[in-house]
Amino acid sequence: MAEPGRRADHESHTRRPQFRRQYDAGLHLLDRQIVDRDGIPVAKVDDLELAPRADGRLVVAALLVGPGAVGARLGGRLGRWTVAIWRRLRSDADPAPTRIDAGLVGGIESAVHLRPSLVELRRTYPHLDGLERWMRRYVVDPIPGSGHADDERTDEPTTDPGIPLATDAPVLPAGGGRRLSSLLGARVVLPDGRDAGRVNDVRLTGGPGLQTYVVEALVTATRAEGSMLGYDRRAVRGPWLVRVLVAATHRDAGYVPWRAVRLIDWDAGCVEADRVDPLTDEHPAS
Amino acid sequence: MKKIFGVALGILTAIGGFVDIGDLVTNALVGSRFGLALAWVVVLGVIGIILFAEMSGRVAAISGRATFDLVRERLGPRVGLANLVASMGVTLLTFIAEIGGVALAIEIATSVNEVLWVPVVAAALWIVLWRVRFAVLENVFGLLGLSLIVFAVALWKLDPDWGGLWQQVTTPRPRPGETWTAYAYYAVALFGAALTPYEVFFFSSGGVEERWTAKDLGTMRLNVFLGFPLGGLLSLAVAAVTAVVFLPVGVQVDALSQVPLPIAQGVGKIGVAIALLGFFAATFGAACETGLSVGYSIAQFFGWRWGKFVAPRQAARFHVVILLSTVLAVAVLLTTVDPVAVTEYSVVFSALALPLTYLPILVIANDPDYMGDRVNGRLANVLGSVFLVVIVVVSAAAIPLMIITRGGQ
Repeated sequence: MAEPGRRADHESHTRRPQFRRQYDAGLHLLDRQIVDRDGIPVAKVDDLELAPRADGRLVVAALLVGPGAVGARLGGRLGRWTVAIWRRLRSDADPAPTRIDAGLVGGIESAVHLRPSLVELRRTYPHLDGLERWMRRYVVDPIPGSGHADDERTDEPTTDPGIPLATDAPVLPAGGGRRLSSLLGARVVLPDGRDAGRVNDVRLTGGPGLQTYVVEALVTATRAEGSMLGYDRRAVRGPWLVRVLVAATHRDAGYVPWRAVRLIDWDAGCVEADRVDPLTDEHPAS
Repeated sequence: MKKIFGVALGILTAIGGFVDIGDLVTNALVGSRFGLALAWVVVLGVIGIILFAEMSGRVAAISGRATFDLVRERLGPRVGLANLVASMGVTLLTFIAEIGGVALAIEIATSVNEVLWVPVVAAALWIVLWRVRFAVLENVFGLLGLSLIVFAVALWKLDPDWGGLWQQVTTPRPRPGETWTAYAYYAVALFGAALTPYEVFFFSSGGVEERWTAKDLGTMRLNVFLGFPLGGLLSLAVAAVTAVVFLPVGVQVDALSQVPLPIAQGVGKIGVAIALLGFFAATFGAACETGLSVGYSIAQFFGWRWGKFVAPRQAARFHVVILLSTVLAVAVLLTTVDPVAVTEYSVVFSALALPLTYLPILVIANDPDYMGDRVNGRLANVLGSVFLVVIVVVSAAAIPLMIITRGGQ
């Protein structure tokens, strides 16, 4: 599919979205707003799918969206109920969360910008926003003045789902996809069996194109809960009071370069690492 | 010329929009019980809302993201969801209070019981939120809300002992017979009335939807720096007239119908009519803002499409949330609960919920990833940190004070 000409944005800013060389996946990608090519909100990044490349390196494969993805991150009874209700409402036997191919991402700024339009996305991903379409059909459209008459019905998904959108993403070995959220919070264990904190964030490097980003390092902290609000990076300075509070609750931030990662046990939530370096600002984007 | 008109309109609507049922009820009640001994809290609250609104307006203009979008992004889904439930609960409570306030204002004018007006008001409100171009109504209600200036006129006409009023301002402590805990409780309530979270949700969401850019920062700041303090002056005028008329005779304001009485004394019947128009406009405008804010916060948290410029069918989930909130508000008010009591609780819970949305905005306003070179300056950060402490202290004190004083008795 040809790159669609960008129409005048009406819900976002007009600069052409870009990629940076480095992202902290938890801080810069998780929970960010996803917008279509016209800036229309599509969903939140509820999780990321990481998949091993042929050389074993983890690469970003897809954005996961919907209750099926976010439920697991909520945890506890609420999370289980969210996932259970979502499964019940889906008609397919073994539903999986909608995975938006990483190759469709056109840039990352204050939002994650996709290259296709919402209409095209709905055709490709029939379960993208089922609740929205259900409520439109059964609640909103029957009420006078809903704008029903003003629209052509082009944004309804076609009956045959799964028209693939062209992406630049390489074909990955099937079945290897893992959720970023199951790596965040994992225990980090050194060869001598010592506990070295927990994975607080995953540093990605690559670009342009989200599908080119690989895991460069794991950022660790003594506590699993709570992000560092970006205060682990030098760029975020003030205000002093918040910085001090974050520093006091997140001492001993560490950095495990990918070379030092021996093994990731996804099911046990555990990472074996050769060493943990102190987190400084000068880690190279290798 | 057109630009000057636009700026002036923005400031005027900010004045009218600042005052809502919470400010009216709390200021009148505090004026009748404590005189102007709590005026400093209104000043503090206005400084707080200026800081908070300026930061979130700037974040909206530079990053294009509204408040709850960022709350989830910085706090994650678990803490973010707890935050959403708390903030939305408070906004819903305020929404209920505003609809009740509109119904009460009509009751005072018509002598028909407010419970009968509730469904009518809610239906009118929902039609406005469903279909009407909101910018027009925002301006109309903002400007009509300016008729609350009649309180300032009444104060001047009453020709009070100005020295005595000033002395109340400069002796910030409870009067004989009042306890320090009751004084502190109403300080929290006044603070919450001035710094209601929905004002910021509404302000920043409007900014995102109207596609503010760095060029609009000047206009945005004028609205905030001029509109909110002038709105605060209106609140103080309400407190002052009730202090002048009710305090000496020991009458405590506990119904909205008592609030315009000092105006009858100062300006006469026509003044009361103008004040009622002001009540109606201020509460109806605020009801629109709170109703939309409930939808904004849920939609932004889950990444749904939202907005008052898109047709309802393009933002179906957002509009279903608004519809359900309106139905819920009617159901609560039809239990014949006293809207004034709902208001008193809503302002205290506002104070309780404030840190939840204030902290993420303070952090984002310092993040160059979002803000480029428009991050907070030194002054914004010093004041922002001071207010972070103030807001946390007020929030922590709210519930204990409510229990100790049994809701301010």
